[in-house]
Amino acid sequence: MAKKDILDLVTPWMIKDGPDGDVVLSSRIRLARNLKDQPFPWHASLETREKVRTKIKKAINPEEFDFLSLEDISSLERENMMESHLLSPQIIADPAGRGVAISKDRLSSIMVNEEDHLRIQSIAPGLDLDVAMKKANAIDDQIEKVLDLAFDEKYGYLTAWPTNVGTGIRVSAMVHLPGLALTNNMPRTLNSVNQLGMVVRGIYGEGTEALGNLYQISNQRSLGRSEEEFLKDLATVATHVIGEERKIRNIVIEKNRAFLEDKVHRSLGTLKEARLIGTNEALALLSDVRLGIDLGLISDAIKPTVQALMQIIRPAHLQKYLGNNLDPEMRDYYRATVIREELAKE
Amino acid sequence: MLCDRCNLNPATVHLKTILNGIVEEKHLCQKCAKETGQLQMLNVTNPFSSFFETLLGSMEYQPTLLRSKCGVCNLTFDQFRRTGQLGCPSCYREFNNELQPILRRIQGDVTHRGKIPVRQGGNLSLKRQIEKLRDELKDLVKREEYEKAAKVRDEIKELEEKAGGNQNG
Repeated sequence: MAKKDILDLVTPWMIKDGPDGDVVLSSRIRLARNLKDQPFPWHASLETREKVRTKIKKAINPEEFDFLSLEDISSLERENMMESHLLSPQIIADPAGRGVAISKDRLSSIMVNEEDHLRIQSIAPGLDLDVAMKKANAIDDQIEKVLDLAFDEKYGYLTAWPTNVGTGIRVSAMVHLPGLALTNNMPRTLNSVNQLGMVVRGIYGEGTEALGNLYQISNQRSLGRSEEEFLKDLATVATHVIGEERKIRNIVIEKNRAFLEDKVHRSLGTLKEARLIGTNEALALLSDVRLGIDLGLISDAIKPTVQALMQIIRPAHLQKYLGNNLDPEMRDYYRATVIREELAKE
Repeated sequence: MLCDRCNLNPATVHLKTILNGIVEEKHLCQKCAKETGQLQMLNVTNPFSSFFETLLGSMEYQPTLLRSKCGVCNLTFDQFRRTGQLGCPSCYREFNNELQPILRRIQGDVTHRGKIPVRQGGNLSLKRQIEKLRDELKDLVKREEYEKAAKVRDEIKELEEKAGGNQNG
């Protein structure tokens, strides 16, 4: 398969470098909204959820979004969308009566009947919260014109979890922190981020693990401040973490360049030669190679391939790429083959 | 292999630290890894939701309150306490008294200061505008800039009429 193909298969922000792209993969804004006079999805019957879904579907512009009912697509397709961050692990666990609208550029999506009736999200490459915010806001404005949203003068936008009430906003940055992880500084970093009122989550959000040294930093609170203030807070914390990561990368390279060169090249070597490889190992090795590229130890010609591989090698993407369902052992074999072939093209 | 730290439990967490070229290997049991903070970086769960659940679980409520229901969706307060989720938008009003202290704890505030939707926002934008002008008016009076203050006062009056009119309409 031509290399162009894997770049086409992944979400656009994965392979595009944005501001502070050496540390920040993407910025994401999520707005939680609900319809007035309807029970929240978890407390609603399947029938009510379907009714709400139909109502929302009608309110979404079909020229800008493709709408999907989740029970109409295969579980592989749903997992694939989760790996692309278009769906959450929560919504794919129980797809009945739920849906998703995906923008044509695949940078925005609206989950329907996840924990709230509407979860509007927009993603931008790198640290670029304002761009993502603008898009999410525009979608929200459009929806508000057509649907009666649950809004209270005192509490703001009403949500199923009181932890999201008010602005309904979650601002997050996906960061790559191999330097802090390598030097055992993650516990300290997590602590300081928590003290600044933010939380660190795994790559697929709440309650998921960190893979390939990828973490999501996001706000905890949603009430009592404006959206702009929440954005500013996150930008401050993200900038702090970016600074720490860069500082540690520089220290390691200054004090022990040979060690780091050896590590990133060994990882690249393994990726180029392995015959069986699991998702977690591949992500860890790709993380090393990415670090090597960002520090100029490995040629940046392979950066788009490495970025795309970070997504393509995940189980559902791999199966979609190869066009069939594979049992885990076969996956390890084909994963190694895909990585080898793609890296050999450079 | 036994845990390096307590020498009692089997080591299940294996850590390799490489700093400045010095390699250090540690083999710990789950408990010791947790105590030394090493497990934190491996286990990035959501500390907030657990804090929220702990908070809800630790609060004591009267049995009559636990049985009380939202008049719109029938969610009992006990269901909310167990799941952490409300049943419908009306629950916020129905359980207002109980929610206030919870929101104060988890959100640090009980008042929305963000976006106001155009259609569902009612007079809230006007009210915020009036509040802002009142602060301005106070300032102007303090500085004895009466001419400007008179202008702001007229503006407030105009907005108040508009707000009142909207309410009636």
